[in-house]
Amino acid sequence: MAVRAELTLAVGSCWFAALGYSPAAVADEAGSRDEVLARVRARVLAAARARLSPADAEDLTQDALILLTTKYAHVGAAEELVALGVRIVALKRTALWRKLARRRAAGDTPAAPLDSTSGDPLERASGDSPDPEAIAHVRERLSMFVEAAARLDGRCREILRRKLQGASFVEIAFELGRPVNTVYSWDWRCHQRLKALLGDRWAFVSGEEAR
Amino acid sequence: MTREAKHLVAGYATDSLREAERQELLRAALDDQALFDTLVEEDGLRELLQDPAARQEVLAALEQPTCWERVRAWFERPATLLDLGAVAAVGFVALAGYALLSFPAAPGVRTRAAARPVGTPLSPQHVAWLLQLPERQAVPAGIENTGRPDAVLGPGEPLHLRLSFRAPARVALLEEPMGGAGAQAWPGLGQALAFVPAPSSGGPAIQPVSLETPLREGTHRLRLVVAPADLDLGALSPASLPGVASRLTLVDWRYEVTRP
Repeated sequence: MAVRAELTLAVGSCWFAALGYSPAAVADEAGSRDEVLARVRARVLAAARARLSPADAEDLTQDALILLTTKYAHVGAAEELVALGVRIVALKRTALWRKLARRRAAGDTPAAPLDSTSGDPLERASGDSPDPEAIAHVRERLSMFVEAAARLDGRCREILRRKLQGASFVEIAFELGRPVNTVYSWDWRCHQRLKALLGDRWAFVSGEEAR
Repeated sequence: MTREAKHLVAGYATDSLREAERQELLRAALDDQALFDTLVEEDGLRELLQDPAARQEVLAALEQPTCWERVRAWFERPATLLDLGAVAAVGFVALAGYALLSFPAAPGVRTRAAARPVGTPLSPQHVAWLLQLPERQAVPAGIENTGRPDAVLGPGEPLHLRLSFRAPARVALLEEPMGGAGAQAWPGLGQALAFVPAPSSGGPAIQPVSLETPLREGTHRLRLVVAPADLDLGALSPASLPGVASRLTLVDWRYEVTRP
């Protein structure tokens, strides 16, 4: 698997060069694109290992790197590569959980690693119309979140309300007449409060676990 | 996970970060595995809240007042304040009425409790002068023996009297035993005249006084001295006493002490 990853990086670099890009062209203070990709790969692999079996984690990482070096080769900024890495891990993780849940419901025990995560999860997430099961899944997660949010009080309630209305932290700080760093701290504590209200259900709401 | 970047995580889930904040957070996650893992975790919520309908649903729940806010709003509405004010006023009036009706003290008790020596004690010259003055009533006053109907008593026998007079006033009871020198019987020797305030009932003040009859047989005299409340007899010199005689009420009561 590690060999496959190195090979992917090498192929990606060559493909970049063939299109007229060079790693130096997308370099910034975080390093060259290859350097950034290597760090993103390490983050993705560790995040996947924390959630999946070693084999599935390895496959997920390879797929993510292939996507980043081929389909998203035009993305050069380090923060955008991190954002893509986060998104790919999250979506593939959810897809794997859902497939696993379906298998369990059907009484089928997987003997081999799940391979349903190939392809671009970002494209699937934005393109295909969701199936009834996915819709029900989202409804259940949302319902839990709404129930917990309704139990917030005072400042936490107001900050979450303003955020969902589209206000930035600077705008919220201005409205409350407090420094923006204070609002960052309040918001973080309120988020922890929300997670505490959800308790064990937070993993399901965040998509980290299947029901 | 750095402190500053950690505080931006909740903003990532609701897409509330400005571009600079988002870049700061994602750059930090490039070398911070815990932060990267947290972002993966939060991405599920972010995906959930990206749907405008879902946001509206959460916002609708947040617009509903909490239980505490409903209770506070109920207390803050004007009608509630008026209701509570009325209940408090009724309660106060009921308590005040109960207090007034439950403890009707007798006028005499109130007067006795209120009487206290005030001013300068009378000297023997003052007492002698007061005893030699003729009886006179500037204000209504009287002495009544409550212990027995007649005025014949044995030596050393308790003598229960009831003094009645118009208050406020300064009052003293002098005694003149047969063949002896006069003295102040009530308040005790060496004390000033007792100041008795006006009873709240509006009637005359009633002051009970208990003495003991002298051992010597014969006719003895008690003199009730009632002075206006603003007149401190003990402070006057003997020479100036005649000038205030017309303001005094002097009532005598005589009794017989005989051996059975």
